[in-house]
Amino acid sequence: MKQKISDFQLALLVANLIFAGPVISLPQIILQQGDQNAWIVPIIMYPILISLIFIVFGKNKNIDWLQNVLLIGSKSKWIEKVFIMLFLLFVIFTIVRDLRGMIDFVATVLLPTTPNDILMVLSMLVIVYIAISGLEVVARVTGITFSILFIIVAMLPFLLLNEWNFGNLQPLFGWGSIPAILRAFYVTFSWMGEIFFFLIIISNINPAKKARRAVIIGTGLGLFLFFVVLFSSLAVLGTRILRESTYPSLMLIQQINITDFLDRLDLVITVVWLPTIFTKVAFLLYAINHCFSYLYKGNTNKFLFPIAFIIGYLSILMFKNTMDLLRFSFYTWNIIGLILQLMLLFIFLFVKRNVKMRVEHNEAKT
Amino acid sequence: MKIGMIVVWLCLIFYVLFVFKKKIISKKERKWVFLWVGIAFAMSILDLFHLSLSTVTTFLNVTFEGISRMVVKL
Repeated sequence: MKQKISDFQLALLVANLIFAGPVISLPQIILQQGDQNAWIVPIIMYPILISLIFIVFGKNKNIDWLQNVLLIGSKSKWIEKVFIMLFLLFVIFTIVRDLRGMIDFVATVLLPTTPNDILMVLSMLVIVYIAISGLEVVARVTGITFSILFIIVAMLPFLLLNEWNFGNLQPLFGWGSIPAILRAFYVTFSWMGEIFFFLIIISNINPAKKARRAVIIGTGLGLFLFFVVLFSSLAVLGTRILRESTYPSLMLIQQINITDFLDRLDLVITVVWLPTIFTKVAFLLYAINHCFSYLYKGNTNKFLFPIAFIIGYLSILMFKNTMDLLRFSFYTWNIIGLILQLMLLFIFLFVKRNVKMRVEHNEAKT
Repeated sequence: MKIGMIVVWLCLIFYVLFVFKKKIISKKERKWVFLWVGIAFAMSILDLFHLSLSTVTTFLNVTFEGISRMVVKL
């Protein structure tokens, strides 16, 4: 039976996709490029992503095609296979990057003496357990972890109120700051374009009519949280400190100083934050499984366990060290991600057209 | 031997035993199980001997990084 998720769960999944992974170290490069005006980037990003979402969904009137996109075991045309292959490439790059980012973060901040391969194995055992249980479980776990994270991140500006320095946000933007904002926008786009992972589960949304609205709300939620983190980081730490920091978000939450005895709240927040990265990687692993199932024309859950370890080892072997990962994430991924996302979007329009024609043909037959 | 590799090997052995004992896979699907387990095993060996696959990343960095560096401020 096909698994179904609600529009609310879809919104949380999308928000988690664009917040959980990028927040590890992306603020550093955004702030480096955009300087004190970088906080405007999520606000500019939102209408552009909304217009892309409208291109994907089209009019909300005739939405029957949505239930028949990329179904496992159904007849497929070559364009759908091309889409799946490209999607697979996109997912593998993202999961390898995010998993290594998470492993490096844990190895640097939380468990400095634990070897990377042990961190990978233990993480993968948890992730594969969530992913193998199916989309509904991934969505429910994301619902729990992301809701808690949302509350905490939304509270961040208030928790840090005593550390704010408005001088860090000045001078406010003028014509001269446009190139800096555009550079920051370019760096951010390929990361925020990861909302397009929802394309693989587009037929699992119930009710289908609310799918477009859910993706728009999810994108808004994710970008709002990202805006909160960027703005708070700028206001509290300023660009000079942030551009030198590998983990600016961690540095930000380390500044929370409510009372004399509550000075290690960063650990509590990190404990809430890490599960959201786990659920994002679990969703990506589920997406890989879905792609394999589509190409195999049957359920590939039984092969997912060794595949998960292969992905885990790829994340360790593809990058020599953290600097190599950051170099790939900050400079190479921008252009590769952008190309892949635009290609996927373009090909999906043809896939959509094919599915629509097939649905109309079947309706005419009956 | 690295501890991570031992854990992965044990996991893979348990997986193969489980899959065969419970008859989850058909005869036709056996080749896929062996293929995936074989690749995972090979990658653990690569990790043991510190044989990095960073050539892929280096190739991508060399090919595409230049474009990004033209746009961003260094």
